[in-house]
Amino acid sequence: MASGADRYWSIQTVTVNQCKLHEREQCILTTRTLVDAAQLPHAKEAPLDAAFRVYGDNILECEHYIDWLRRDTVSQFQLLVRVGPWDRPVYVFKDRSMGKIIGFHVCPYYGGPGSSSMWPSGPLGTWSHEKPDVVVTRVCEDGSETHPLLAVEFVDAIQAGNQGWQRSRRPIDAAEARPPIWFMYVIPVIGWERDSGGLILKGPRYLPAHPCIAQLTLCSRLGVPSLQIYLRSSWTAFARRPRLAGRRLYPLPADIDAFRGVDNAVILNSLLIRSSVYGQSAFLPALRDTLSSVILEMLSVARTYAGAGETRLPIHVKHSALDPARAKEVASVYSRALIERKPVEGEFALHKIEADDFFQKGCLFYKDVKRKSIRPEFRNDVLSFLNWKDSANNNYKRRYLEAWGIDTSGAKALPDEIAMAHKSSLPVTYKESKSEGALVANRAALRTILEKAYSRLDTAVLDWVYSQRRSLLPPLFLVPLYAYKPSGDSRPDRGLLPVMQSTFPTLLQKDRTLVLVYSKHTPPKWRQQLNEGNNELWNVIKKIAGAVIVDRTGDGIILANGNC
Amino acid sequence: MITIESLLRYVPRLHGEQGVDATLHMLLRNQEHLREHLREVSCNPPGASWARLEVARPRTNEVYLWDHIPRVPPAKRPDSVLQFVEDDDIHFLLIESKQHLRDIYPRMGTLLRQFFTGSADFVGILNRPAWHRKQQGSEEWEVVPPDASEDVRYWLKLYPRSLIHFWTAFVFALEPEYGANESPRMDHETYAAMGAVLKTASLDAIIAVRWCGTQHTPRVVLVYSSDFSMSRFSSRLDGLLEPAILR
Repeated sequence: MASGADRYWSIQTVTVNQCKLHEREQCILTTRTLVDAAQLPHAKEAPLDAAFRVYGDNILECEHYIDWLRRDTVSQFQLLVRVGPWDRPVYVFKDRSMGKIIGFHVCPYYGGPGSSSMWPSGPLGTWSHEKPDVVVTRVCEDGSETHPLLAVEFVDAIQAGNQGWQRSRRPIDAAEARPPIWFMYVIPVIGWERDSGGLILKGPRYLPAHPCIAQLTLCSRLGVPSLQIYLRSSWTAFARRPRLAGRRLYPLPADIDAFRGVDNAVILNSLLIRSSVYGQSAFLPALRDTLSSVILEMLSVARTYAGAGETRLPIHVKHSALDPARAKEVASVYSRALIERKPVEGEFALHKIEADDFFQKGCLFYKDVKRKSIRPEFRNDVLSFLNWKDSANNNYKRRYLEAWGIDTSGAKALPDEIAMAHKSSLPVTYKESKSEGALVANRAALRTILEKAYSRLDTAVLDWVYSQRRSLLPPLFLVPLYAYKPSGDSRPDRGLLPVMQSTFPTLLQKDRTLVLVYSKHTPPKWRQQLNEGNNELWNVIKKIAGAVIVDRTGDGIILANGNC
Repeated sequence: MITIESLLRYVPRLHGEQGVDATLHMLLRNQEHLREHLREVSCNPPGASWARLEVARPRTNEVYLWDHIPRVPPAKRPDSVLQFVEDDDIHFLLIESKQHLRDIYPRMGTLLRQFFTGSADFVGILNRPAWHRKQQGSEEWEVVPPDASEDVRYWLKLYPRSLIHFWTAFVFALEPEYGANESPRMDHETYAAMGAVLKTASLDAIIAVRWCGTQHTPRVVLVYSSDFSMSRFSSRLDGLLEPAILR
């Protein structure tokens, strides 16, 4: 069938021109029939051996995906012709390595809020809370479509700070879908910040380590490819300019020149398509090699940026999976797990980070909060007992320590030394400097802090945090969540909890996760939003947390299945 | 058996602004013979975050890139920008696209131009340094460093303003946006409405899209101002739209 394919895709065009004048304006009217199936010789019989649909957030994202296929020296797909309406064509490729003719129908613009779709067989179904840039499905003989094979997120620029949380929901949704969906997050290795006028270069913007580690942890826990693909941009070369680097070297992954980046994505995508068409077995060795190469690059990025600057992640830096001397071994273990769709076992399993890792390798918790976004009472009555501040005076530190049941009155040691000696009794975290979540072993002390701060707080919530009747309570994971900007927008914070849970799945279990929403812009009728189920922020809180406290209203609630 | 025709029978429930943007973008992307004189400077359909503008520098083989341009009202970032390159003159067509003709807003042309020329709180593209450049046809961008000469970083700012020309256009989907007839004739009322808006909104072109027939093929109808219709840019635009124009 494939050998005769070319003859089907010859093109006819008809051009008709007509001009006329309309009032004072000139209306130029021309018609040219499109190259579409109806005008191709034998078009109705023109067979495709297989077909896929490429859904996109918009036409640009769809074209990025088609460009992967069009890199024919890497993909081994040869473009024969584009057929159909300008805005929604079918690209017909010949698979050079296997000979079959495969069509890719571009379906841009999902449209609509949430998972609603402009298309009759919308590809998002119930698995996705957001819209990835591209989702690929296979078209069956009867015209129906399969569950998606692949979702891709194309990112033009590294996002600043916590903006990255927002998109982190997408790889989680894909990995947790049933059946799971491969996910590729395509992003530059480095960018450069400019001032608002665009006139001055401010400084480099690095890849955040946390989303990369969250995706590696998804791979580890679920055995599903959740990958990052790195683009080498012009800023990569710029970062190495000696004149600009000057006094400071800009950290880049040491092996960046060996990164295969998008080539790996093109190869993986081609193998995924071929696996769907011909069955996976013939492609397993190539799949495993390419997955191993991608994982190696992710490990390199995770190691580079987990060990640098304000985003230093001490628990991960010390984890065997990020040991540079064992990177190839780790990549091999992960790629095998991804092929076999099994969790990673043993010392490289990132999803098995436990409370002891926090107490032994973690650091004291500190959450950076903007003064203007909170009630002063929240800072004084709650945050100052959660936040360890190296730079604070001894009074602050002694008050903090005593809140956690550590008597400092007769001690000769400095508060810093006392704090280090009692680390496992204090809120500890995974990130140095500014962090987002704390593991709290001393739940009784936390209950006392919350009881004093929130007189209206339901006893049931306090009992959920700590009760003498409940023995052997596991450490509680506390996430203070800003959640609401003055505008009422809950982005990007609504992405934080899924990122945290995918990074520490053993710790953020529902029966031990407490969310403290602290923005003074939180709607007073938050319970209504929680109950209605139409708000993504509250849906996420309800799904992940066992209880929530809202600072603005001073009350809280136990969430379903919170095991009170 | 799956055929092309069976794939193309699968159509969206609604095309709207996304369909309008996709039609324009793909007409240019897939007519490579037009690109010598007509370039896509930017394309920013709904949902896109590709805030980048690529401008070809006349008399050179270079393309410069402006990226990460913030949205600062009242200046409006065009949904699409085309560049007509001929001799020393630089012509830009700044396009706003919406779902409906009624979505047109006051001072649209002025606000679109301000994205290039600037407004009170916004440094326009013309006055911003370019941060990247490449040779035409190349994929490899290089950073234009802060210590590069003014002639390189600010070539557009230093370019004679008399040689930079802005044209503005509005593109929308007709109501109803779909018709079963493969080749409908456009009614006089639609032209009249478009012509009236062209004059009152002080724009240079208005383009309407309707999707026709079983495959929902996009067809366009356009109206030009008399000034624009006399420009060579308009004939290039005709060439671009010609495969989709509806009689």
